[in-house]
Amino acid sequence: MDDLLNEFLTETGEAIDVVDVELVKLEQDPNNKEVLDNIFRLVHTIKGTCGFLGLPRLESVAHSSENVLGKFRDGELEVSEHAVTVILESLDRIKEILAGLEATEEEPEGDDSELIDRLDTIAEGGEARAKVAEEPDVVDGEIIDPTLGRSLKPGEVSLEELEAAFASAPGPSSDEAGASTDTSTEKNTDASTTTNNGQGSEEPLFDRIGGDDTIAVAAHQIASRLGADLNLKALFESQPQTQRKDRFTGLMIALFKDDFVTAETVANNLVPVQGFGAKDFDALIALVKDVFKGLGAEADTCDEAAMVFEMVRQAAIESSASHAAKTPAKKTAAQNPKAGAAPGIAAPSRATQSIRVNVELLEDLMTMVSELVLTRNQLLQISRTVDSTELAVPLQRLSQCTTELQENVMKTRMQPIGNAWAKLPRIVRDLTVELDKKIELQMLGAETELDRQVLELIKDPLTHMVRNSADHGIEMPAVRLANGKPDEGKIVLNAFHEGGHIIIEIKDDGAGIPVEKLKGKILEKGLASETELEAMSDNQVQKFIFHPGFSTAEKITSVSGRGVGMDVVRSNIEKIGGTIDMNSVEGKGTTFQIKIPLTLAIVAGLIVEATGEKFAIPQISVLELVRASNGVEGAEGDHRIEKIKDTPVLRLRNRLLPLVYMNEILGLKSREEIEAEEHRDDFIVVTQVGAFSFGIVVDQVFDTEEIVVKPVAPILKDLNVYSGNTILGDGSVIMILDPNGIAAVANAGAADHSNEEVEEEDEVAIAQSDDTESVLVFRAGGDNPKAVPLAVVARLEDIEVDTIEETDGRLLVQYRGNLMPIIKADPDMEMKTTGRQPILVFTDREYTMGMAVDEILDIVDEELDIKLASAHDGVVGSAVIAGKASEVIDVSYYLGLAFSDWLGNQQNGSTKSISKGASALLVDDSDFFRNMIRPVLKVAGFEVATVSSAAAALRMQEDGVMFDAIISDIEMPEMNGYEFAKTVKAGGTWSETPLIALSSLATERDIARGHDAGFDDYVAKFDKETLLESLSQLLKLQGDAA
Amino acid sequence: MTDLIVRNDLSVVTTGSQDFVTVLLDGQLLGIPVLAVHDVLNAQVLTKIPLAPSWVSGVLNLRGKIVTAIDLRNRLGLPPRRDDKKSMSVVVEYNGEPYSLQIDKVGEVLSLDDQLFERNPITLDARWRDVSKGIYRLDGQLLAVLDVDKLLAFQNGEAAA
Repeated sequence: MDDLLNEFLTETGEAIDVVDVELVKLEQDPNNKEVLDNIFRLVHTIKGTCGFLGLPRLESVAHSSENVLGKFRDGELEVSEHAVTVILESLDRIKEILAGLEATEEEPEGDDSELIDRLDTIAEGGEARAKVAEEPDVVDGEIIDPTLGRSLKPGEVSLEELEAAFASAPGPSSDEAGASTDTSTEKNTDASTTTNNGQGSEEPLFDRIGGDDTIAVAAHQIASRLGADLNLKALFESQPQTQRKDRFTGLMIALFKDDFVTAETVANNLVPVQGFGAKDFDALIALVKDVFKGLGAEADTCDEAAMVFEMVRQAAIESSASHAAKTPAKKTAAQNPKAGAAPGIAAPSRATQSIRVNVELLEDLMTMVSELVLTRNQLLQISRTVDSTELAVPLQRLSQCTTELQENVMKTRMQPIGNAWAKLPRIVRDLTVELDKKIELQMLGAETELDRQVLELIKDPLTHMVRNSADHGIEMPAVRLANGKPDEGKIVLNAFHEGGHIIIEIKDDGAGIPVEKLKGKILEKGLASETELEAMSDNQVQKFIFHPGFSTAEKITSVSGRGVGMDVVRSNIEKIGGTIDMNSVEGKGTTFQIKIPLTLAIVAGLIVEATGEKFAIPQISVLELVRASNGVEGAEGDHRIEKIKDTPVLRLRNRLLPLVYMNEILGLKSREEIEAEEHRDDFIVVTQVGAFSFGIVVDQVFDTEEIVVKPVAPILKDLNVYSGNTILGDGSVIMILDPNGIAAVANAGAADHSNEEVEEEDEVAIAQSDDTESVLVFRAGGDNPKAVPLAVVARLEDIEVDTIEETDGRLLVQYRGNLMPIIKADPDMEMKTTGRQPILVFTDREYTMGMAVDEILDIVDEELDIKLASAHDGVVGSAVIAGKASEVIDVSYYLGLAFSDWLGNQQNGSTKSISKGASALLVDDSDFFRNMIRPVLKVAGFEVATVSSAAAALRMQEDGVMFDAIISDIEMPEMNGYEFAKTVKAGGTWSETPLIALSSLATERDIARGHDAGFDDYVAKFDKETLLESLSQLLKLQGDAA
Repeated sequence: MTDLIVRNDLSVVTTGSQDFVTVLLDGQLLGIPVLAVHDVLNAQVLTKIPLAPSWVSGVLNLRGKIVTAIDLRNRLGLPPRRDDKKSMSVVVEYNGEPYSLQIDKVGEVLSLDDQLFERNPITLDARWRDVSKGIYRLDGQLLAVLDVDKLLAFQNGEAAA
């Protein structure tokens, strides 16, 4: 929520500033429709957003102003000075609330009914009456303030006046009960009301506190104790103690006698330096309260005294802030005659702290800087060969500037990693409830920054790993206690920088990874032989969890155990050039360490050569360089390439390192040719890919260079051995090798289990394209593969055939304490009679069903492009998946088979029933709203595209992009929603697409206007449920029609 | 200046003219629409890409942009060059990516009358038929018009299959 709120504050702050200016323009030129429209739209957006965020106070104020503006716009009201003044006032109020919101993240308390009443009166056309009600207020502020402000000298003068005021004050009358009433009214921002109350029957606070004498003592104490608080001391240091004392005396007398106008004037001079903030004021109030307590005042009275001080909070803070600008403090006071809650001094500071920049612009900047770095490198290369000192100096300077520029541009793309963690505490909390475990999540280094792009990519793997730790790692409390650990498990996330990389550690003090159990599983899956396992260290065995299709939890829980766990994490991390390592001690816990580059754009590359061609290897995967001599008998030196049958290996520190020849992998030379050559010197680049280290034998190693990774041309994308290409300092193009791809090629011919790794690498390569999704491929009844989007599969299970029962002609299995129906994926398929039956588990709301299949073949990332629709029930159509024609099954059909009531329920307007993969276009000019609604739609299963204007949407139409539904805002600059709808419905490819208006202008008239313009439905902006319902209805209608 | 006229064989053609950059490939004259051509380059240093399809001859640096070089002879089923002369290249764009077509020699830019245009003879080699838009009858020789989009799209299709 913090992010949303922040964005809201920035956006609204900007909007308000614009409205301020525009309103003044409007006043001068009341007939300018453009200005009016603009104001209306901005206020309207503010209102809509508040509603969405649940900020009732802000919303009601904005709503009333909008009402008035709406009348202006429709010509029902004349734009008058008075109306504009009130609207400006309401804007000030909005600013006040915003400031409070920024400081506390909560709407400050307060009552706006008076302001709203006035706005409503104007809206109703009762301007005259409102004016009467308004007059005294305004006059009050204008008359009194200048008089006092002019004549006031800090301290004494106001004191004198106060003494006079005191003399004429009504006599004491003890009415203790009045205290509470007083308190509540004083909170009211309207000073005049308070004054009236103060002069009422109850005894003024002044007398209850103990009169003049007590106040004098209190002021003395406050003044001297100010020095004790470090912050306050700094602020008040510049005044001598006597002056301080005088000022406080004056302030208190004024305050306690309810003379707020005077009090404000004094308060304006209270703090003579800049930097007095809300916090300092809080400290001051605490101090005041303390002092009065020390003087024997009653608790209620102390509280009240503190409360009264709140009245001058704004004045004190503002005057402090204005000291820098040398603006006379009284000006601020005159503009705002009421002593209300603090309006935002934070607003201008926010504006200077940050500006919003289009991400595209940043990306462009980044690209340009990358080019600049390249050019710089080229220049440096040239300067090495040219002997010119004249050139060297400016070049050095250029080089330095470029480096700094590069660093700074990089910084603009940086975001704290905490953003990726934000969801984790909630996830862990939910898990603790679901799993009945006790887990503490500790997050360190959340402020560590890394590239936006990288951040997006590691979000999901991180979440997955934390889930894993909570689910598999941390034991049940009873087990923990039995093992002598505290019953509360601990997961620590730690992020920090280390040498150009970000290290993220995920550490738990759970059970660790059970080696023996793992070995059993490895044997079962045939990933390695028993002898191979014998030879492995525990750590090596544990690293098998990174193999595809590996899940160790005995019991598969809803949390994890889909068998697509750590290998996906690993490939995701490797995709961004990172590495993952793991260290696990049974019984003690597990630590995962992820190492990722700071940024993807510029990497260090090691330049190597094979058969005269140069290549770059990303430095991050290079562990070390070894120079070896090859095959020559009795050759000296520590390293020699040896062979087991045909496999070249290298002895490296008591370890055998498998080797690959780059020449061979790239098809430059055959193995015979390589061996026929006499190698005196071979360079071996020891490379690590995940847990797999190997050596790449190259002919020559040059230096390292900073390279800018550019993607290869689309026609070369299928070559896994390259991750990109770049231009070197000397201007030549060089291919960048992808160690993952090389490892895949190297393993292709090797043992059986490595094949999976190859497949996995293929997966990685394919997954790089954007439109792909994970598809589960399986076989059932017949040889043709069938497929289903992995996203709809809840779990994969292997169920003992014995446990499947048949009742009432249906197959059932007891599954997690429930009966789960099992449906055959193909009526012709035969269930297994012995052993285990693979089952895909689908879950929709409370329905869970199993689908029996013959064999689960693979999980591939591919674009699910259905080529042929099918007439068969239960089949969506045919698509080419992994090069084969596959039937894509329709899960909803099977759910219907399993539960006769499922379809019925589905039609009850459930928001979840929207088909997966439907696409929607969201048109809204507000960033905030786009970000807000997009996830809502995504969760409902939509592919969402967003654009910021109707014009951009129409451009997409021209480009031939199609959507299942279009959702559009109404109030937008240039072309508004009504016009947009008319244009869309007038013809063209989108004329049949359901069109939903999303607006907070939801009066009957607006809705009718929306329908006239061609919108199929009209939904209030902050009503997510209705939006989703409307979407599903419209899509269903369309489906029925088609 | 385009008019429709009906020819003797009843086919309808527009009159007007198109501009082509002519290139020579194994003695055959080819035309590339002049607006499709971004650059014409002399021989460049090519970085070979091992494992790439045979019709990709490498990548080159064109003013800071990486351009993929296509061996047009190979692509059109012609024998590799036997003479030692360096290939020239014509840079075209497909899907926003620059490609350099390696050709023997660049000729002049011709403005050709639409009336000279013929569709491909159906007996034309299938590989040529796919990438040729049609033929212009010039004095003494024929000019085949290269369809750049098809020429480069084919490779994607092949790669995906």
